[in-house]
Amino acid sequence: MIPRILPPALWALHWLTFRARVRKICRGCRTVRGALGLLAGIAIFGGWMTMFFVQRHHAQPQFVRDYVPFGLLMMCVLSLVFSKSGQGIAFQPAEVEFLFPGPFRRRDLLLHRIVGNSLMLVPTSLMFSLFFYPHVTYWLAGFAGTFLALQFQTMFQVTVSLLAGAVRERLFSFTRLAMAVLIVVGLAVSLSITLDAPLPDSGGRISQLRDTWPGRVILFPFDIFGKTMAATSPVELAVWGLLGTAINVLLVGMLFLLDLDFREASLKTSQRMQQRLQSIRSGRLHWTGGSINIRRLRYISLPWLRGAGPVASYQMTTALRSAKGMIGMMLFILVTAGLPMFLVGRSNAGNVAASVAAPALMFVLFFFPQFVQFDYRGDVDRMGLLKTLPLRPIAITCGQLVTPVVFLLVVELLLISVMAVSGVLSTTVLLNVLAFLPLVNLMLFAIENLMWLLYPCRTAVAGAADIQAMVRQMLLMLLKMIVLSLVFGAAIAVGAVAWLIADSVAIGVVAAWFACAGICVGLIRLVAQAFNRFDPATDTPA
Amino acid sequence: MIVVENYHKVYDKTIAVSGLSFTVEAGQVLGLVGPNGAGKTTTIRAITGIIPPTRGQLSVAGHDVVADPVQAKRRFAYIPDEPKLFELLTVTEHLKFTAQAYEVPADVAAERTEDLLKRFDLIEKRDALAQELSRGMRQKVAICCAYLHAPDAIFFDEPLTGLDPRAIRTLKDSIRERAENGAAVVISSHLLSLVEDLCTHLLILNRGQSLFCGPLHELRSAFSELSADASLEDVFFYATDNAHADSSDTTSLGAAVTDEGVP
Repeated sequence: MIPRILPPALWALHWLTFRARVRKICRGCRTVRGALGLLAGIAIFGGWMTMFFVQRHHAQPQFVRDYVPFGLLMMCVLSLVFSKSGQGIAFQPAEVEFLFPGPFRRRDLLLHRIVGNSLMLVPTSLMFSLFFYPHVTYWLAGFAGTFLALQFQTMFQVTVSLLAGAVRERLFSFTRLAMAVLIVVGLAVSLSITLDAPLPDSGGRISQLRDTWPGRVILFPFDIFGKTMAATSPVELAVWGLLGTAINVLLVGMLFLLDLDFREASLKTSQRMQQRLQSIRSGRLHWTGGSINIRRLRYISLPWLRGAGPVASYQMTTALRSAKGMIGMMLFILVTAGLPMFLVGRSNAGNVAASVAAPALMFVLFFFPQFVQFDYRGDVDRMGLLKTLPLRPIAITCGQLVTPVVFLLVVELLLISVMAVSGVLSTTVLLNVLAFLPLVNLMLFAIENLMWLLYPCRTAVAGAADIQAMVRQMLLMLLKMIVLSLVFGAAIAVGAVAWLIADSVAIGVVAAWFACAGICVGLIRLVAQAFNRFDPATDTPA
Repeated sequence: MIVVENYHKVYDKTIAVSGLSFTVEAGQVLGLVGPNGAGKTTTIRAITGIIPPTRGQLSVAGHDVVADPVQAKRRFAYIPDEPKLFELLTVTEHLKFTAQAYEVPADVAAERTEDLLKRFDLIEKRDALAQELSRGMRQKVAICCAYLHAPDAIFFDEPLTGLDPRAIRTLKDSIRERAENGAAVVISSHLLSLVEDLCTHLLILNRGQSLFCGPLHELRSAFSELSADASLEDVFFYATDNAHADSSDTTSLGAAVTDEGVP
C-alpha cells in the first residue's frame, strides 16, 4: 500500500493548478495575436536552445563543479541575510482562505507547500539545465542536479522562515549573525590560503578555494549538487543524485521533527507578499526598505515648466523614497560582477574595472530601464488620473520622462567614475560619453514608454511556467533592441556624413549629437501621442 | 455648465452608450443611476476626458472636452469609485501636487488645505503615506484633492464607498454647499437613497440609453402607470425591467426622453 503523503484533496489542488496553467496557455493561443506570440516565442526559445547545443564542443564539468556550489552558497547566505524575525512561509491568499481553516493537519499544509514549490521547480530546472548543457556531460545530470540544488535552496529558505517565525527575535538575530560570521570567516581563511599558493595550471583560483579545508567544510552540502550536475558516468549520477535526494529528505524530516506552528507567521507573510505582488502589478516595484523613515525625504517641488514640473515632482519624490532598495541592488550587482572576476585571477586593475563595468553598463542600458519605472509604466493604475489633469500630453510626457532619465544618469555616472579612476577611459572618450549619455537615456526611456503605451502590460509576476509572460518580455526586448539599433544607426550615420563632408571628427560628433537630440524630440512627441490615444477603459492591462 | 449632446461610445462591436444628451446647469445635482453595465462610468469618463467619445459633443463650462481639453479640465474635478493615490506621497503632498497641477496660488492652496483636512478629519493623517491609509481615508484624500481648486463641475463615481457615517454626512453637506455656491454636480451611484437625498435631477441609464432625464420631482409623472407615492426604487425597477422586457420600447423611450434633456 502506498503511504498517504498528502490528503487527496491537496493532490487534487495541485492537479487543478497544473490544469489551470495549461488552460491559460491554450486560451492565450486562441487569438491571432496570442498564437503569433507563442510561435515567435518558440522560435526565439528554439534559437536560444540551438545556441547552447552549438556551443557544446566539449563538456566542461569542472566549470560546474567549481561555480555551482558557490552560487548555491550565495543564495543560501542571501536567504539568511534577508530573513526577518517573525517571517513565515508564504502561501497564496486563496490557500490561506481555504486550507488554513480546512480539515488539514499542520504537516499536511507544510508538505503541500513543499510539494508545490518542488513542482514549480521542474520548468525552472528545465530552463537552467539548457543553460548548463554546454558544460555538463549528460543533460539528465544537469537537470537532476539543478532540480535537487534548487529544491535544497527552497527547503533551506522554508527552514529559515519557519525558525524565524518560531524562535525569539534576539535568538534568531544572534544565530543568523553567528552563521553569517562563520561563513565569512571561513571564506576569508580559505581565500588567504588560496592567495598564498601559486596559480594552478588547470582550473583557477575558484578551484583552489574549493579545495582548501574551510572551503570543503562550508561547501560540503552544495558540492554534492555540483557533482550531481557534473556527473561523468551514470553510476556517478546515481550516487551523487541519491546523496542530494537524501539531504533534501533529511531537511524535510527535520522540519517535521521540529513541528513548529507556522500558521500565524505565515498568515502575516502571505499578506505582505500579496501587498508586494499588487504593488509590482501596479507598476511600482517594491524597493522601499522597512527601517528608513521615508517621510523625512521632503517633497521635491519643481517649478511649473509648462506643466511638466508637477508631474516630475511627484515622480522624483517617489523615486527618492524608493531609492534605498535600488541602491542596494546596484551594489549587489557591482559586487557579484566584480567578485567572480577577481576570483578568476585577473590582476590588472584596468581589466578588472573594465570587466566589472562592461556587464554592469550592459545591465544599466538594457535591464535597468525595466526596473526604473518612475514614468507611465509606474502609473498603470493612475492613467485615468493623469488624463484628467489640466496639462498638455507633451507636458505630462516630459514630466514623466525626467525622473527615470536623471535616476539612470546618476547610476551611470557612478560607473563611469569607476572607469575613469581606473584609467579605462581617456579624457576625450569620457567627455563624449558624458555629452551623449543624457540623450541616450532619454531615448531609452522614450522607447520603453512608447512601447508600453502601445502594448501595455503589467510587470510580470509570473513563474517559469508562464510561457506567455516570458514570450512577451522576450519579444519586447527584441523589439527594443531593433528600434534602438535603428535610432543609434541614424544618429551615427548623420555624424559620419558630417565627418566626411567637413573632414573633422569634432564636427561629426556635434552633428551626431544634434541628430540624437532631434530624434529625442521626435520620440517625445510620439510618446505624447501614444498617451493621448491610450484609452484607460480598454488599454489598461488586466 | 455640463453639456452632453448625442454622445455615443462603442467598443469594438459593443455599444456602451448610444445617443445620450443632457445638460447640468450650475447649482444642479444630477444623479446618474442604472444597473451594472448601463454606461454610467463610461459617460463620466468621457466627460472628464479619460476616454474619447466615439461621437458627440461634450463640454464643461463652455470648453469642449475633446477640442479644448486643458481648459475644460481646469474647471472640473473627478472622484473615481476607487481612488488611485500615489502610494509614496503623504496626504498633504497629494494636495500640494494638485495645487501645482491646477495652478492654485500657494497661499490660497495652504488655506484651503487646512480647511479641507480639518473638515474631513485628516489632520492627524496629514503626514501619513497613501499606502498606510484605509479605503475610506483614501477616498477622503481624493475628495480633498478634488475640492482644492474650487471646480465649477464635480463628478462623483460611487462617492460613499468606504466612508464612515461622519464622513458620509460631511461629504453630503459639502456637496450641497458646492451646489449652492454654483457648482454643477454629477453623482453616479447605486445607492438610490443617496440620490433621493442629494440630487435635484435624475438620469436613469440602461444599456447605454436614457430612460429618464429630468428634475427629480417630475419622475413619478413620467411613469404614469405607477402610483404617485411610488418610491424611487419602485420607479427604477419599473423603468429598467420594462426596458429589459421590450428593447424596442426602450429605444423609443430613451430617445424621447433624451431629446428633452434637463430643463
